[in-house]
Amino acid sequence: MLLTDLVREAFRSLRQRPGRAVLSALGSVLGVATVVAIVGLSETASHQVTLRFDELRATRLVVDAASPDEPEVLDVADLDAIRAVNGVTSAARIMAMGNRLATLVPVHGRAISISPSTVSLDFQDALDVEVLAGTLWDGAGPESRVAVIGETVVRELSMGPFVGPFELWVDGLPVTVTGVVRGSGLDLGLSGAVLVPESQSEFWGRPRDGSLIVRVLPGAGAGVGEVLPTLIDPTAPHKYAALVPPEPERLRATISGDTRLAFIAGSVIALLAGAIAIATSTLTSVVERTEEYGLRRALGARRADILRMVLIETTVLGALGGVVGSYLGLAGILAASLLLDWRPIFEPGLIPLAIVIGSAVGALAGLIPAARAAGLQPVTALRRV
Amino acid sequence: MAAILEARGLGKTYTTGPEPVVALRDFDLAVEPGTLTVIKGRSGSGKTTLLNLLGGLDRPTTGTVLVDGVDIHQLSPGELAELRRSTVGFVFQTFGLLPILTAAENVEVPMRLARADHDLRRSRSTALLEHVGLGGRVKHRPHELSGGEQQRVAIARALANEPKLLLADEPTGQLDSRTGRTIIELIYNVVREDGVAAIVATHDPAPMALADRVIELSNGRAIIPN
Repeated sequence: MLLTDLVREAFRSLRQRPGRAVLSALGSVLGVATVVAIVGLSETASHQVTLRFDELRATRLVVDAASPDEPEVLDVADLDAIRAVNGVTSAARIMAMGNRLATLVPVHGRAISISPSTVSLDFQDALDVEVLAGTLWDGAGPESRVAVIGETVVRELSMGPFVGPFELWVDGLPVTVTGVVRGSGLDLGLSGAVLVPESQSEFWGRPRDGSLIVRVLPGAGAGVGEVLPTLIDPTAPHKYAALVPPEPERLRATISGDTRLAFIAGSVIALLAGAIAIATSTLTSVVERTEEYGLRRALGARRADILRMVLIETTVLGALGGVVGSYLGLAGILAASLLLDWRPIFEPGLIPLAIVIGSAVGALAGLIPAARAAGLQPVTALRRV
Repeated sequence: MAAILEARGLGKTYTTGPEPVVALRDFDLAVEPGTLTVIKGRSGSGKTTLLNLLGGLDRPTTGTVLVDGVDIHQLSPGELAELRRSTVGFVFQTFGLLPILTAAENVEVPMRLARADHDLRRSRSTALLEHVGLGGRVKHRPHELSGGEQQRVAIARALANEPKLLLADEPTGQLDSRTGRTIIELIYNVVREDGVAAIVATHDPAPMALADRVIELSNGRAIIPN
């Protein structure tokens, strides 16, 4: 039979049994809708992450020592003077200390040792730090040794939820951990850090690395970056480098990798479910239409004609499911974006792709029923005519 | 005149049940073009089995069937399908029309299978439906037609690819006697006018009067008239 005749008869046949057609297509609809929604939402989420990073990068400056061997030059910076600069909203200093290790001993498991970082006042705002549990050490003096730890450290210690202050040990001396923090999107390694007040920096020894983090108004970064080195040390501005914070590539790659994995797993499951639904429904239909296939064979249909007839029917079904499913998926993206106050991102090429995917699922699902229909012996099938 | 169809020593035994069932044994037949052969016999006498074997729908246990001199049971499945498309036309007791198609489209089915041109199909299906007296029913679906009309459509469909052999299995079985007679007359006209060889299996006595030959089957065996 000619392809045009096969397609026309497939549509007729589907119209003849609308209930079954809808039920069969439902699998493909849901499968394709899930794929479209997952792809669209992963795009939307990725864009949202980019927006967040861009916002962070547009409002932050990082001042480093021009020579990595001299991080202590940052100690001379007068943070109050930096905060007074037009366009600056807050400023903080974070210094990784090298002399002493903070040792954390979990109830079970292995102790871990981390070089702590000192942070100045105002660090929460400048570094965009979120306190997940407990408190910061507001007002702690040089004598009271306190610290907060990053959320990754908590996980590494397998200590469960933070229920209250506990001790970590440094050279046999206790340091009270008052809270758990999470770093912002800036790649400063805060989640895996032990943070201690700058007022205790003498106890911790010499810094091995450090940065000044300056939060600025949007658009003020370039101007502020120009004046900062001179402001910190008018006699040796060349010792400082003011930079836009580096993009946290690793974090972004992780997010993108996670969403891709979720996309592949979700899509495969959804499409398999769709294919199984079409295949099951078509197998039932083949049994119901045994006499029709026998009749066609008696009239001279080749096995290939019957095979193509069933395959085209399931492919058309899959394609129709693809059309409906892609719009359903699009509606899902819009609904989720509205709910989360995100900006929806939808690739227009997804609709034709979804139809192709739906058709492929339909064709795949039709293989077994088509082979069964084509394998019917005309004389057996005709006994029911 | 050379026979269009010859059956020699044809037999069929079914072995699917616990006991083998002999449905047809040692059957001989030669059919010339333009003749009407009636196979009569009670239900279960082997009429349908015989037609299935003659039309290449089933394979015999013994014997051969020659259509146009070719032993059809030596053909591949594809060649058998080609034979059914081009040389044999089937008419069934329950009409066997496809409900999703109109009368004209049902007539077109064998032509579609033969990949005939769209215009040719359309004009030939219309002409055939007019030939069987259904010129005004071209766009009707099977459920909009009476039993007699449906069987006329089935006869038009059987003639679509200009077959040399028409096999009709109880074509009047679902019709009242008056309608049945018109159907047999229609087949008779096709035989006489188009030179088609027709074999009609029936237990209806009406076609006998028009037949060139009547063969009675009983328990799968032809009864030779005295």
